[in-house]
Amino acid sequence: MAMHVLQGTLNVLILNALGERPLHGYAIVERIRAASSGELEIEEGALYHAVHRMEARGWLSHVWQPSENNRRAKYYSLTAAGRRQLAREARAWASYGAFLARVLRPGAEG
Amino acid sequence: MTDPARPTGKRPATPDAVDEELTYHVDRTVAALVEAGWSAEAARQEAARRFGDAARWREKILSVHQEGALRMARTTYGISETAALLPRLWSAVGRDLAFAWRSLRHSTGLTAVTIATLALGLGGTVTMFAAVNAAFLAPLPFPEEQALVKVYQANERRSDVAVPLEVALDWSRDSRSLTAIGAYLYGITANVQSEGDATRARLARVTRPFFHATGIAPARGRIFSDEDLALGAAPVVVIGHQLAQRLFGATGDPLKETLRIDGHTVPVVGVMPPGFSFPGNTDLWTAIEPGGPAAYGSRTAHNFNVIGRLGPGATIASAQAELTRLSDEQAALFPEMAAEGLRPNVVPLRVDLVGTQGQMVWIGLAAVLCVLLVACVNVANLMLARNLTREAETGIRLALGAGRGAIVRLVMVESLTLATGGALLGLIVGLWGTNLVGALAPDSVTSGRPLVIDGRVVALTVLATFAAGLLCGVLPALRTSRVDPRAALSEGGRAVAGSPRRLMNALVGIEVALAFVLLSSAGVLARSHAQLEAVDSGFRTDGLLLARFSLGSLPESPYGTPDARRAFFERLEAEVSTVPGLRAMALAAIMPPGFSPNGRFVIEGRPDAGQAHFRLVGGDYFRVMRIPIRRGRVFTAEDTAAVPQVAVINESLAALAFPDVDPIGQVVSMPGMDGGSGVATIVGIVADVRHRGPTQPAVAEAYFSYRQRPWRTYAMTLVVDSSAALPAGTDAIRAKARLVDAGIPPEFQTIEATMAPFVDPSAFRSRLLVVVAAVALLLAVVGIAGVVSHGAARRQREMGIRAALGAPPGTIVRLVIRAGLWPVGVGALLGLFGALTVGRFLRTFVFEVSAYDPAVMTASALALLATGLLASWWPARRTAKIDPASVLRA
Repeated sequence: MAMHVLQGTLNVLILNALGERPLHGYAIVERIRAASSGELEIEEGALYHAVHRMEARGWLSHVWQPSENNRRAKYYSLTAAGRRQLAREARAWASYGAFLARVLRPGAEG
Repeated sequence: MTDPARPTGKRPATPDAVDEELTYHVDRTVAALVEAGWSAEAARQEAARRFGDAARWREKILSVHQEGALRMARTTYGISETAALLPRLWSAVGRDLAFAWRSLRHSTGLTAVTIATLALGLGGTVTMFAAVNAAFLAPLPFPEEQALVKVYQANERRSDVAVPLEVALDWSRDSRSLTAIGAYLYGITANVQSEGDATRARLARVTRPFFHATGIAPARGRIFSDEDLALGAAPVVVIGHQLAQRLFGATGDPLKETLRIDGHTVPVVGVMPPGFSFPGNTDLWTAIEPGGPAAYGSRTAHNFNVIGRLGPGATIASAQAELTRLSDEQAALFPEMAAEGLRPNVVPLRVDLVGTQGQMVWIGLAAVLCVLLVACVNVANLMLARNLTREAETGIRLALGAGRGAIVRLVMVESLTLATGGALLGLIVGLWGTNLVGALAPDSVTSGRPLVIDGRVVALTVLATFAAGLLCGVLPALRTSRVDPRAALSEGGRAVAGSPRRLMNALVGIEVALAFVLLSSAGVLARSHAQLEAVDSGFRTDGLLLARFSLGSLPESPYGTPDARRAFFERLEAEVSTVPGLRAMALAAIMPPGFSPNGRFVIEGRPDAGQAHFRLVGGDYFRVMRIPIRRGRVFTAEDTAAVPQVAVINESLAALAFPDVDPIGQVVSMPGMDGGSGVATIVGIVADVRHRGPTQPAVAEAYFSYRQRPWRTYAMTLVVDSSAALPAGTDAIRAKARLVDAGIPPEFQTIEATMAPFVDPSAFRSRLLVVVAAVALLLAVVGIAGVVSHGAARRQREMGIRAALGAPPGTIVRLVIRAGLWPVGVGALLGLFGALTVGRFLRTFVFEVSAYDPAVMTASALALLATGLLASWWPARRTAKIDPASVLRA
């Protein structure tokens, strides 16, 4: 059964997807889906909303460029601020994940 | 290439940009699903599901930017929120423009056809705008020219009756609404001599207010003074710049000179500035002394042109009212005026100058506007066809919540962009067109002014371009905005809002109807012109050289007596006959074509036989003019003043006046035609000719010899065969004329030039309309072919199935052609009604052919059906050649 994206995790997933190279929205969705082996179910409209909000905060910038199918597409890339945010959120989520895992392990710490 | 180092995303995204981004996403999703084996419809539903509530997300995304933009505007410029919306709208249009540019660039072929189509339409429009400008808009060369009027008298039948001098002088004295009223006679040719040979010049006789009315002051010297105008004062003359140059060169001082005008010595008192030659091409102006109007006829002698200048606050209507009141006062005093029942008629000078040919300019403009309309219809159809392929995209945009206004705006921006491209190219076409029309148009069409593309023409063109852009775009825009988003998503973008075939067919019908009207009008005018060209005037209309001699325009000329005039022309005949190689010559008091005086024709001993036209000739008139002699003889050298008068009549007069007796030997007279009296014996009958012009039927005519009736010989034209070596012929004749009287120089012309005014306007009209109709036909071919191709493409599947089921290619060709032909047929029928309406306007221009000529109407219909057939045939062939398997697999 497919998982739904948890509230608040969408930003880091997007920042992470853009970590390697600029992508357009469709490719971001593909990337996230591929990375989760198709298990993550994203409401795509929400993803676009998040991307636009992140750009407004200065984490992303964009260029319009011809894409693989020769139509114009909007490619997003990380700004310097975006990279710092990615690092910050990745650290936070990693420690939070470890914390949750500890908390939820049955029988741990009493 | 990806270049993340070049971010462009600083400006807030517009709704269109957002739509483009989201549309791209959904399209990719659908494509991927279809590739994975989903059906198109299922793929669309799945893509929509994955996206979520599209309209809500779109709003949320836009609000991100709106907040950003407003915040930025407020902090940066400190402006209100409403004001901050303006740059957003502006940048939206900018985005539309960029989008239009991209999509036009991607379909180069279509864009090229569209722009070329509009360029043809707008180019023709530019050309006729230039003609309208020259005829009606460009200012006349007078200060405050709008205030200039001509005054005529009018009754129920005629609106341009010339004015008696006394009447004009009364108006001039009493009128308050017109500040200056000048009366004038013009077109008088005078023999003018300073030193050396005499030259011919055009003279006008004017009253003093004439110059005040025109508003033009002399460049040097003065106009007429009170002393000049006193009764019996010595005449003085004001001369034109051009004549001054011709007579005295650039260095001479005309004001120190006297001229000999028709033998009188007249001092020059003024020189008009360059460019002033009103009225007509006048070279010199002499005064009409108000003390001596008796010499110019009574209060019912309609001889004078009248020009007036409206005073401050006066209008045509107020001047008309005032002159009517003054005329009523005059009529109360002079019963002969009351009996005539004429009233004054005030018309703007410009309207008067353009005359009836002005109508032709409007017809030409209407014709090119029809072509522009045809072009717009074509472009609208092309855009409709192309927008179909974008309906799926539009549907998604709408589903994503884009306003229908934004969709309409996008299509309109695109069509206006196309129209602008067409206009730029159209100006080049127009430049070429104005040169062509300027070269072909007779002066009467443009009131003699050059056709130029000036600011006014460009402004009109901008208007026409805007209108064309709107016309092209409005139907496609409305249709596109009516796309049903759900249908667009579920039906795979096919036939989304119902096929526009019916709309496109209706447009083809309109286009064909317009083309029919143009084609039939061109046909009628061309046939009319062919009839005119085919007219046999009955006399020789080529290869004749005319030399006109006029013996005097001022009273008390040395040629004041009939005997002196006869002596001049007899000596001229004798001298010219010694020119080597000259076989024959003729003399005519009035050369055809044109004016022909007529009067009572009396047969001795019988009641009045009615009217006949009076022609005074000399030399071998009938031989030179190649007018066949039917019976008897014509004038010979023996028919001198010393023997009894003889006359020659034409067949019409013979039939009219002598239905029961042999005319030869009858004694006749035409009292009152000249100063002479006496009777003449008819000695011969000649063939009828169209002396009054090719469009005027022959009339009853009587010929007399100038040697026996020399009264009406103030001016005569010598006619020789120009194969007697032109221009050496002119030199020889000039030299011989100098021997007779060096003060009476000839003015040369060819017979072709005198015929031209009767033929050229007709040639121009028919050529103009034929060219315009040809362009319309060409556009119709393109338009029909486009729609038929589109229809055929949409029915490819059906045709494929038919072919697969064994329908032979012939059937498919027939099916496609039939679909293409019926709107053509309906259009042609509509066009026929249009042509019958338009015929009313053409009636004044056609000659010996009906404006509703059935042959022309039939030919136009056949031509359009053939055009439709031709235009459908090609797409039909292409459809028939399609491999059914490939269509069905798709």
